[in-house]
Amino acid sequence: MNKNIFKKGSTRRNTAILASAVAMLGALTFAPAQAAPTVKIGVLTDMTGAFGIVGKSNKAVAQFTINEINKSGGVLGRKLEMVLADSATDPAVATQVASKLVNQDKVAVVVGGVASFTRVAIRDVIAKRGKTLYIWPASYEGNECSNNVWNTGSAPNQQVDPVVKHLLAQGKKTFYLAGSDYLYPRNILARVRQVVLAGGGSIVGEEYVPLDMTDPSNLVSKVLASKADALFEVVVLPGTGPFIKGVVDGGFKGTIAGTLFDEGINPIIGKQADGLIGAQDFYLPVADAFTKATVAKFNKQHPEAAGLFSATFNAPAWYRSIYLWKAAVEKAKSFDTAKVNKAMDSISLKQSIGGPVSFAPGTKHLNLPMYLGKSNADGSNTILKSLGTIAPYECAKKQ
Amino acid sequence: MAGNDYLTQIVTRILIYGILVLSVEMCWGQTGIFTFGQAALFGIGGYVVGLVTTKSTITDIGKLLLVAVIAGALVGLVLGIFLFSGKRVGELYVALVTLAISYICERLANSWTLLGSGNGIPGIPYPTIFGREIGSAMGLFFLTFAVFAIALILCIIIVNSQFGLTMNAVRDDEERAEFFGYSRSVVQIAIFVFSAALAASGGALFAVSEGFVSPSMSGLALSTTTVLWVVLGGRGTFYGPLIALTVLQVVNIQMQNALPSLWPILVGFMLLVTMIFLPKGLTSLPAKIRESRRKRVQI
Repeated sequence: MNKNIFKKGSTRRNTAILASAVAMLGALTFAPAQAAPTVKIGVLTDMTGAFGIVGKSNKAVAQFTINEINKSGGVLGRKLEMVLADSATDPAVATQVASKLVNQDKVAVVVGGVASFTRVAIRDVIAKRGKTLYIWPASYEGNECSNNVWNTGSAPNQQVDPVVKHLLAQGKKTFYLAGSDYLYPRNILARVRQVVLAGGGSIVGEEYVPLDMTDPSNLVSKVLASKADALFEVVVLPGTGPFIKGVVDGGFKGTIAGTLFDEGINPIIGKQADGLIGAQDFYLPVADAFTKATVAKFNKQHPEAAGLFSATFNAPAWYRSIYLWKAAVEKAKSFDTAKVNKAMDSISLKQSIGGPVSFAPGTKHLNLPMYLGKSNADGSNTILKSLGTIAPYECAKKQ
Repeated sequence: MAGNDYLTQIVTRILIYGILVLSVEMCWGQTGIFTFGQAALFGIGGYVVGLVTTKSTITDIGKLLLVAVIAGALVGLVLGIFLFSGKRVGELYVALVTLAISYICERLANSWTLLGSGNGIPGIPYPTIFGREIGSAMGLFFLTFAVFAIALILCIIIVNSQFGLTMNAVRDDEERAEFFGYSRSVVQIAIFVFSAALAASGGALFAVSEGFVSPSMSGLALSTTTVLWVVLGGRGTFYGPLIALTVLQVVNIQMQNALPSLWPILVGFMLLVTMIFLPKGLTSLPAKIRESRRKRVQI
């Protein structure tokens, strides 16, 4: 090993090193002022596990929305930065990553959760113990009125009432209710029961199956034996496909309705999706120019999530969540949780996916443009009727 | 300190799993009872606390721990009598029965509406001690550390006592221990009940520090992971499995973000390799290296 590095030729090299050091120092001294630090948005979703496909969509939509906002100048002059966390469809993992977002990454807001059991697990970690704003962007079973929590997906009365009324108007009298055994399906079906009975119909059966059920034959035979006019089902992934296939192939003569049918889920069910009825805040055929243009832009920028922009994957809700938060921050002129929380209650967006939306004051839920839809065998969805903007019956305005 | 809340919570969780590790080590490492059922008891402790705190106004941590420990001990007693009070049954039988119990508990938790089915029981309030609420990450850490320390000291005392020697005798050779006149059944049942109570207390702490309990707490995944920590760390010591647990938990968090699908496969592979080449666990690695070096020098 050569001990003497300062040998012939090294003088030139040393001068070069010294010169560049001076230049760097000079550059640093005269460097332009640092841009304002980015604001971190916590994006919490199931990238792995049973709901992994929804997570894939959520991540893409969040990224798309944040990029769009950053391109137009950010929020209060600051750019947004996405911090992704995978809750792995497991509440124990969800609380851990939620804590990381709130306590370590110090995000300004957390958007996310796919299943209701994730939401209830992380809600206290984020909104109560973490004192951070939490936006729940999913159509769900209602009753989420906690402080610092805002719901941007459809509530039961928005998804259930129009569908049940439509079925009753078509002469369906007897209803069979089936769902996965957790909070979401149970509360949705409770709402179905309420509207059916109020409309003069009757319930001929109600069954719940475990979340990880893969063999639905037992439930299928019960449904077929009931000979009901209509089946309202809330059996979630992974059971949705096998269950609907079983019922249809078994010769069920009634109409099948639910809260989770659209272009995202239809292909998973296959050709047996033909004729499924539901109501969502968005379907691909929605005609307004803003929706069409935004969805087209999304598909172009995120080919990895092609076909995953759908209501059941919560895509419209994710898009509007981040914009609603942006509007609240701009109204409050601050990123502070308490101030933004106060401003949120009166926020509205003149333009959004599916139509304009606004928070119904005191309800922590949105007035949403809803559409009655019918699934087709090729995976697409037809809009039977535009239902207009429906107000949510939640929290202060329970009905 | 608020900025370190996340790290505090990670350490708290490691300590809670540490209690679970102690219970397996006492059962398996010291007494030779190969149990896959600790997660079931962990879940029982957690769910009992979940039900008590949400259906009543009791939040005193002393009362909650007591209820969980009693529930765990009772279940442990019933199971223990079933498994160990008759003829000798062998490790495999015990493993299978405890595995089945874990599975049953997970199914029950998933299907029983009283237990919240798929949702579990959310909204468990902060625990209180002498009327004051333990509401911070640091507070929960100290609580967990205290319980863990007491548990560890208890375990060390038992292992180093006369009874501890009897435990080891039963572990090393059930039949011979019986022939020597030691009541094998009593030893096994006693340790099984003690481990059950330990695991249940861990579950109780999990419930109050996380704020919720869910079926995954009770499941096969946790049962197997606990055994994994003991295998990797080495049966026969307390520090081995505890180190393995800490390392794996910390790495787990990093890996979950980097390689979410690949990581569990890697862990399984590690378990396989350890069982084949290092049956005494990773803590026996330094000794093994010294041995092989000595052998090479001799040539």
